[in-house]
Amino acid sequence: MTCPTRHNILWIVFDSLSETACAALPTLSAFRDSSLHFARAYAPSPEAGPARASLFTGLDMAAHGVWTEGVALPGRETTVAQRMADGGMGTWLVGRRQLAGASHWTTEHARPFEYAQFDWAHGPLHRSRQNAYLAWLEARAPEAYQEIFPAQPDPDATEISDRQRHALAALPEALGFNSWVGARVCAQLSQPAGGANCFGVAGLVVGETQGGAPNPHIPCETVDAGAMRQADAALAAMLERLDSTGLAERTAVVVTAARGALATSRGPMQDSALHVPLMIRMPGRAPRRTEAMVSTIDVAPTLYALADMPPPRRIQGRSLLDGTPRDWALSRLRSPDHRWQTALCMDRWKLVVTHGANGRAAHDSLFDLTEDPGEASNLAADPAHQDRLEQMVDRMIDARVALEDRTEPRIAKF
Amino acid sequence: MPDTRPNILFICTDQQRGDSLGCTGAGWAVSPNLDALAAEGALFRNCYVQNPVCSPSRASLFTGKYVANHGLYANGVPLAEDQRMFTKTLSEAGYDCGMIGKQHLAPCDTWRTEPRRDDGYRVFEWAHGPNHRALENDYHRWLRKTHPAIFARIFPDRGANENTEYSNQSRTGTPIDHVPKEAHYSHWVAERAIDFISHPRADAPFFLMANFFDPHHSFGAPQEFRDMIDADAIAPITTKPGELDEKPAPHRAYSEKSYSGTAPGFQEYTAEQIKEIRAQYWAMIALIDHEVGRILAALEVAGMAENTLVVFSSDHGEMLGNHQQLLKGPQLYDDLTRVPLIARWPREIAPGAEVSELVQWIDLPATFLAASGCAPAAGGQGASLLPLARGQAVDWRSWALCEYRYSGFATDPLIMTTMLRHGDWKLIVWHGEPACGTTRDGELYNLAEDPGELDNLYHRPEHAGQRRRMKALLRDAMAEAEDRSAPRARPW
Repeated sequence: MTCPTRHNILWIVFDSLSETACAALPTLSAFRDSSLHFARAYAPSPEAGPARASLFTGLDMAAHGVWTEGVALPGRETTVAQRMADGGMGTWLVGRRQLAGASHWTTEHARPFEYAQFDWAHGPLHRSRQNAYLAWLEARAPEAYQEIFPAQPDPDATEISDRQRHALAALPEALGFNSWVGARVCAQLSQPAGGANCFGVAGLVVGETQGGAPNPHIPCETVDAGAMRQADAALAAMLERLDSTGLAERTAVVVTAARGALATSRGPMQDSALHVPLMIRMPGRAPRRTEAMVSTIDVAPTLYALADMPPPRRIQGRSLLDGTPRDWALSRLRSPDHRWQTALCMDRWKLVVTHGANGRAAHDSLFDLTEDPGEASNLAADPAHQDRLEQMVDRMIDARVALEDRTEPRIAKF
Repeated sequence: MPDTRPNILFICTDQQRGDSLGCTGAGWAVSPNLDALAAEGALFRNCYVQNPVCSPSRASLFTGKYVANHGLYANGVPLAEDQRMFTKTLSEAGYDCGMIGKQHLAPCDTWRTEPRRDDGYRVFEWAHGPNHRALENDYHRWLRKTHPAIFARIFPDRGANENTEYSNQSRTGTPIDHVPKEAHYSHWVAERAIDFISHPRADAPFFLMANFFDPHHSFGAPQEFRDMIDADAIAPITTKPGELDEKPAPHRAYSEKSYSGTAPGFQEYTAEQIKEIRAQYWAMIALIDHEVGRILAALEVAGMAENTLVVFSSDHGEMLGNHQQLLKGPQLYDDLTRVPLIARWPREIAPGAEVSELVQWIDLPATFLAASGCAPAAGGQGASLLPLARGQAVDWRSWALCEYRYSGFATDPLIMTTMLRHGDWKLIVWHGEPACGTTRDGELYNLAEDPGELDNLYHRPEHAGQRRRMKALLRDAMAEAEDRSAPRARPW
């Protein structure tokens, strides 16, 4: 079989990680400095489900229809992995996927012909019977497994006790979830590829919930420091394996996160919850840092470009390799459990709209991200910024229109 | 148990202004049958379509969704296969469904035949327009049979796709517009509708959509209807000196030429010619009214009038010389966005009801489904109008949205506009980057003080607060209009 692609692609997807948190991780920050680094990448939603659907399709939530957590990616959509497999690449996934609701220990299935190897595990505390990590842990360290999970899971009793959390945290590093992800990825990289290039997804989990139930009152989460350290070590192992096998010279490595993580009490549209790492290391490409604003809906088209494949008709993002970044990013929170919010980042400005509902008036927050990266000072009520505020409102309306689903081609004048 | 569900007869015209009937303010109109229909049912004073051109507006009708959610954003874009039509739902519920005339859910230029969808129709007698030369034009088949000499005179060849834009380019009526009424497209629609109504299936209620092409340009009607119209009685065009100077710049281009520079524009006509265009427009409406009268009479004869929901509306309006413009495009004046809407159902709706709430075209399929006893459509975004028509107190949305997305003939740069009507106010946004390359601009009107939308308040400092409030409401309305129909199968 002839292989149309130039590179292997290793795509490392963190669940919840802010750009600003990367500096504390030695391997990730060294990787960042050796890659094409998009220093201002934003997620289209602070909610994981919508953001991951965008990441894996290159579509905004306005098109893919995953409007909040627990909504499955509609069958009409095609994921990047499906197209890569269709294009002749050997596809595999290790760890989290989350393109459908996972509560009540729900098992998530791959789509037909999506992944040749599907080592799926939503997280270490997600007790689906098909959790590949827990199966591995049970086989590798039965006593440790028994201590964390002494009984078979009851899908109606999804509470994870503090005792279980502590027992999980006390596992030796080598038995942790992200270490498993790293080890499985290394094993995949060591397998003979049979002439085909590979498209591998490593779904790391660093969010505090660790695959357990999220806090229903907060649409976003903080990170677990131990899981972060472990993820960084897993990244080091994967990069080392690429070097030692000689694959590094023909493998593009893309690191990003579906969404950011909470750093302050300022709510789900705070910058750390939306501003995510995005780094691409390509063989033969010099490292570069760009401050151009991009969205993670641009990642899927970039993967197609890396694989030398034409993007599908149904795509809204644009490749980050073509040199014309969008320079704006729109993020939406449409959870029925929370007040709706929309955020637009453009230039140095960020507008956060809390929508009016049930008689409650809308209100605006305007931040100068250059002068005030901590978003401490809301300029929306400042008389000196009223024109700026209206300009951002105009751009937000236009950005909303830009992301409408117009993927159906116009084939005639009328 | 007998089936007591109502028949539904939806009479839809093409390009008919909301204010074009006697009962909606055109004292010079010859519309006795439609005026009577309104008097016998409910007249909706403020019905807005979701897009000002045919195909996107009709897709909103059939799906019950705002334009962004059905994805048919422009003429020439097909409606995606997975978009479900309400007629399919009615058919599955046992309704005998039919469609006569123009539908336009797929590209129809050149000789294209609109393909059947999973539409639920038993009867599908399709004709995109009187000059449309698709071999499957059912009007032409009928005309060839019933009036062979007329057909041979007007279409002497075997079909020619240069006729595609023939009626768009025509400055006056084309020959087919002026044939005797017995040979006219509007007469054919009524003939076929009467045939459908007169042969009901004993075991099933019906849904019929009778689609008139009139009063769509080209501007021409049979002479006997032109003779009914007193051109001098028609109100002069709505404009003022220097109007185009205070409107967003593209308005001037749409005054010079229509259809994005591809069709004759207002400024290419003399005042006398515009006056004649307007007279021909109302002559077409007189013809529609005459034919609607025949359809309603057939319903009466069949003994079905009492339990038939009859709805009359139109897919969008026509500039008709107002604001120094013709035809349609990105302009979101009431001329294009507000359409007539009448609902008569003697068993359910008291005669003489008037509804002033802002209603939308996406409410029509919700109304049909509710009247038939069907569940609301999955993904449907409208609400049944029946409570309003019955005069019931109901919590109703306070705004109407109309979205143009280079939906008519495309331009470079592309033009996109959005209208929000709320209370007496109307905001029109001419989008800029990052939506499209057009310079961002806007219009703001107070319809209570300025129903003709002549004074653009958008740039007036004293109205900055109102402008900003409308923009804030637009953001909320656009969020509300997003598609959240995918089921939330799990809490996370």
